[in-house]
Amino acid sequence: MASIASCTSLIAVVSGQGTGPSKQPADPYAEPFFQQAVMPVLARRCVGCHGADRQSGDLRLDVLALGNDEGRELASRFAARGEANELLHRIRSTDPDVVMPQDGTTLDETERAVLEHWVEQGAPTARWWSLAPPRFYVTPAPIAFADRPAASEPIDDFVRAALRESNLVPAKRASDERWLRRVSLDLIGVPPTPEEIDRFLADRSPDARERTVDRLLASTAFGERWATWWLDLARYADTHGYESDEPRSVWPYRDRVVDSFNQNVPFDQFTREQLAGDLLPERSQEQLIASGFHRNTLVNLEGGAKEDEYKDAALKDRVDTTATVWLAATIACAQCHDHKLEPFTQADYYQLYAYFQPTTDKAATGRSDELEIFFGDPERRRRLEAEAERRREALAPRGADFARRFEAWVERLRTAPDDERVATLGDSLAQSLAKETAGTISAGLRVRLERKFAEVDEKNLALKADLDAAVAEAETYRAATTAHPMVMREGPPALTQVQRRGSFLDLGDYVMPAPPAAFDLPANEAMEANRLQLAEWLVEPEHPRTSRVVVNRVWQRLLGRGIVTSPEDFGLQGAYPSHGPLLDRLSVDFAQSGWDLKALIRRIALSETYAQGSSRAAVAPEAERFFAVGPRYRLDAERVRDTLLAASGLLSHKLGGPPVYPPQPASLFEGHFFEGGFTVWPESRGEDRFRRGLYTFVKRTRLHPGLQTFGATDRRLCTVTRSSAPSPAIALYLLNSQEALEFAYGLAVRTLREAEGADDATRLACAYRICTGERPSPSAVSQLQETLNAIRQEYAADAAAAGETLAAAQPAADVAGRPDGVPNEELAAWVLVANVLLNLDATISQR
Amino acid sequence: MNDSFKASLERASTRRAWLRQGGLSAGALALSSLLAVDRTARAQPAPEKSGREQSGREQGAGTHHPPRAKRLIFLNMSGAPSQLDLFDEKPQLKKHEGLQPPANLVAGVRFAFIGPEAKLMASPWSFARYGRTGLALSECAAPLGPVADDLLMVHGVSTDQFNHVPAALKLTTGFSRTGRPSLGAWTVYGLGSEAENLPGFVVMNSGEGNRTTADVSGAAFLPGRYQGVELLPGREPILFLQDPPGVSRSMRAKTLQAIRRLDEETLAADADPATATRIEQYELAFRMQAEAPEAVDLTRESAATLEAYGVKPGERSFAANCLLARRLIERGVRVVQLNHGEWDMHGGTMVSLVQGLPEKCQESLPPIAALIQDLKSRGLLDDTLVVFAGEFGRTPMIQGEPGPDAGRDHHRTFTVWMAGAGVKAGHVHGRTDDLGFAAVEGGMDVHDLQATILHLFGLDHERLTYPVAGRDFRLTDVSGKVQRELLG
Repeated sequence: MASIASCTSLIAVVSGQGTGPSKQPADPYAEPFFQQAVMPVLARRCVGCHGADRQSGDLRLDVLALGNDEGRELASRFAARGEANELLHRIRSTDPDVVMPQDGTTLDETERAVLEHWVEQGAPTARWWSLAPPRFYVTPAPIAFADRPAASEPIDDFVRAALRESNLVPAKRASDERWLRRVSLDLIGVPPTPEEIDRFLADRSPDARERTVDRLLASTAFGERWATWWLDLARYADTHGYESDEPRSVWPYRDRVVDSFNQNVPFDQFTREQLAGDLLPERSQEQLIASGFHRNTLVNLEGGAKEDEYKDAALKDRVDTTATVWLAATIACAQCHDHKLEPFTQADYYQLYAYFQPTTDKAATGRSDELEIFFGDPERRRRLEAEAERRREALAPRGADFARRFEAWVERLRTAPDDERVATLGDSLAQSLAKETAGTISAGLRVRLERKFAEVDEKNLALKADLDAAVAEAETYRAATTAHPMVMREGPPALTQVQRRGSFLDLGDYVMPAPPAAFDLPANEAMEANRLQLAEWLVEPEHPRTSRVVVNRVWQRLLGRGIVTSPEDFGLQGAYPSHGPLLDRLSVDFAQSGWDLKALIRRIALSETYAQGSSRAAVAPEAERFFAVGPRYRLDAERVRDTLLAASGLLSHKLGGPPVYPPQPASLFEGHFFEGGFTVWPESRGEDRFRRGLYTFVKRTRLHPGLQTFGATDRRLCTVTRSSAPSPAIALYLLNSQEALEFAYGLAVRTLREAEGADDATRLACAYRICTGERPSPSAVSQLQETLNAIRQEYAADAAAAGETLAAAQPAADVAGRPDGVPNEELAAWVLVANVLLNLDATISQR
Repeated sequence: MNDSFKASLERASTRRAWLRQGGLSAGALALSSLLAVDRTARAQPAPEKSGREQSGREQGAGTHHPPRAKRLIFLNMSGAPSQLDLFDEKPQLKKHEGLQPPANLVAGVRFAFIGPEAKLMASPWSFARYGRTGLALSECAAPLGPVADDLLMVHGVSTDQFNHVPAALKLTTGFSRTGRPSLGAWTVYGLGSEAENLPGFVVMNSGEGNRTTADVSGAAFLPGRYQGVELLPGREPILFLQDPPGVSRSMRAKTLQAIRRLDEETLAADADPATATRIEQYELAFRMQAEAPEAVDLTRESAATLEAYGVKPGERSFAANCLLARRLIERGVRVVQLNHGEWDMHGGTMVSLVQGLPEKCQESLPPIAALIQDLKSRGLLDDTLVVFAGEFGRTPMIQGEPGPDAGRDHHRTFTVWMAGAGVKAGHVHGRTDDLGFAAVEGGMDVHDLQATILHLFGLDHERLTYPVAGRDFRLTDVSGKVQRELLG
């Protein structure tokens, strides 16, 4: 056994040394063979019948991973020698009534070998790593590789210790240009400009990289980039979902997320605001808006939808999302029954549900719990409202000559023939007036006549129409400049019952709000058992999950791969950490730093591990898993768009505000939308056409193809990892979409302007560098030159075609203008060459 | 356990292999290679044939024996149709309706919602005999009557998964979690593609609440070109097929050549297989621009054909997808997968089986029958395999209350049918017990089914492998046996 236990010895596990906390929890990575090989077999093959949900033969195997007395006692039974060992007996038997599993499946030879080996070693067990608190691991002794300086960031020492152990070497540093582009794309979501690259290359000071990272972290674009991560988790969208999928104006929530990242709100505080911003003492309006995290659930506004059914669905989504976001736990399985494969009971599920049950929002029967936030021009609104008021006043005394006109009208009618009087005034009023003599009209009759006159007097009607128009204009402006973010509100305490088989119509035992017992970490009992208590529990520094889950996801976003490769599942079914001690060290540091996200991102971005070259040529197959090579992958949807927009020079730097509507094919909006939801895409023009990807209107039932093609999700449910699947649709989009054409137009104009008067080769190199951050090889330039010449010839032979290409790009020309003195054929040829550059793997990849 | 096996286990321990092997799944998988488990049939190395992308046709890894089937239409009925109400007639259920099933049948069986106390429910629909062979089909399945003699009905197929997504992954990728290539991807990987101008593997989705994920047609670790390419419902099944205004085909060809040359430089420097995939996909996109508009244009079909399938011009539907499947197959697409949702009829507070199934069948089965007849009349059925399968079946027990809201829960035994290339047409294989719980004759699991399908394509499921991190992966994971009785 000792030989296996020593696996982690290379990562110094030294209590009471270094700068860590003096009280150390147990080693979460003890017994790696049990955790990595044995427990997955048991979870996959046995726990379904011998787990939390069912205990066939009174046997419950998932307790082995709890590290408690029950687990140890059970393990001691499995360690028995010879015939007495029931586990061996059961997996080896040829008797169909005895052999396990009994569910019709069979263990394969590897699985059986794992269990046999484990028994032979004495059936050692340990508490599952992610059920134990993260532990402070002292930095291993620095290892300098031959051609590399020893690193100073502990990350590198942890990574290199594992590399050394496996006889691997880290990749060489990426070039300065490459590093700058990488870190810009990761921190602010757009590539550096050629000027920024030149400045960085010229900066020889030793802290040039640190200052670059600090500059990027201080940019408001940082929040725009990192918000995408959170908005996927928060399933943020601009429509209600379900079939009718009406719009909602909840973007202040999105802006609050951007602001929170920009202000570096500590992640523990951020957690409180997201889950319970409404319950914070003396909460600000921003904190209340942040509580909209769990209002991003779907709402069904179709007639006939049952409130209790959809509210229950929303509440379950809140439980599932909370568990995924903070706990990386698949607790959703415990809705209907105890979790079959993880130590979560059905009661655990409804105890979490109980935290959300008292919320007052509606999920089907209309809008509810919304704020009203005006974001327009207050001066304009005041002007419009003042104008309406002025007209109302103009109408009130019914104009200065009202009395004169009225008297004349009365007198004319009094003396008019009966039929005309009746026709104007109706029978009763006409008779009353006929009885009067001039100047003797009673006060009561006068009031009635005045009212009638107001209805027929043309001048008065004109004033009324003026008033209506002004009121309508003010109202239209108000509606277009008022958002209605949906927020959380706590209603009176509600009783929660376990739902038998997950049906809200079939209720069982009563439960109180409480976190899942398996984590062995009670909630703060001094607090009221509400959502704020849940948030506080999640950010307990020794919580086994939250800090690790966040660190792992941040790491994944920067290195392209998690330390745990199942960032959505840290349970028995999930992946075992490749660098557990590193994960724990970062997690402990993160919590101790005051949950400082920017500091976490900063240290990873400045590590040598992050700075490595990303070429896969001549690296070991395991290099990626060991982080012996830098990240390389196709950019995600928003960064593809933002990178192309930045290169085109069209990118708007407007921060926040209502979502925008970049162009998409009309066919996507034909024939399958319910009335009430919008059926026409109100295509943006001008600056709003060229906003960053996170501002594109997210319609859940029809995601914009510029997002969808590149793997963005429809935000119906919490998403941890997007698909990065390749597809020819990506090529078609980047070659032929309206957006691709406009981006290319922008880049062509930018190139011709920035390298004005230069020769083709200089211009081509300039454009290449704008897109990829690097200078092109001579062969690349000559290829581009050849292409440019050939296309010039074609357009020269068909001038009308050049006109068509440019006309189609007009919306970009509206913003970017057009360089002077460049003929259509020349500009159109540059547009197509720009299209080439914007399609390059080097342009849309992180490398 | 033999001695050398034991020795390698020891070595694995002492070499600190667990830490080295990293993540759990990789760890457990890598174990087999570390242990040098003896696999008699080793993989042939994954071919990366250079020049493959120059000709549109893909060569594929190659067959192991002469194939009977050359094309696959996989009708993936997501949500799980009720085999007991469509194909698997159980008179005894009538007799025992309302009673609890015998304890030995439910002991040790997991259900998603109902408990062991749930009572048996007979099918509300009567069965009749169809075709020369007298195939039993329920009233709901009657639209398949005209093609009864073409079907190979396979009762008693089993899965070890009882929730939708894992079961759908198991059926399509052989493994209940994400990360494995799909049947379609493996098939194209093995045989290559005959379509120069269309993807080798095309996917279409229909039915709200389709419980599938992109993984059911994914390539996972196989090269990205084997990924299923989705056609959208509606007027433009493939967006952005038109070159921008004023851009001629020859200009497009020149720009694509430049993109290719520059991407090849990047590939040479970075050696990322994803770049190679991108290069191929640009070429495919260019060729799709030429051919795809015609391939997906249903207005080119006769009124009689449209009517036979039940396709209304301009309307997106499962019927339209069936017809598109035939057009694509004709043009050399190797695999067409139709994911068709809304079969999940639990009853109770969820969708009712009693009310929902007839409507669902009326929507789905006539186009399927038309497809089979159409393939047959065009001589395509001889080498096109059609497979109809849900991810699992439905319980003999009721879920919800008897009456119009009744339904059935998830059940691990189900019925699959096949038609066309190489299968024993007009035959019923396998038998479940009198109450329809499990196979008593001719039973097989999902891996056996997959092994058999690959066999029809001339592929040996144990030799069609791809190496990742030291292990040769295959569709059937570590099991699967070709069911020769299904072969015609």
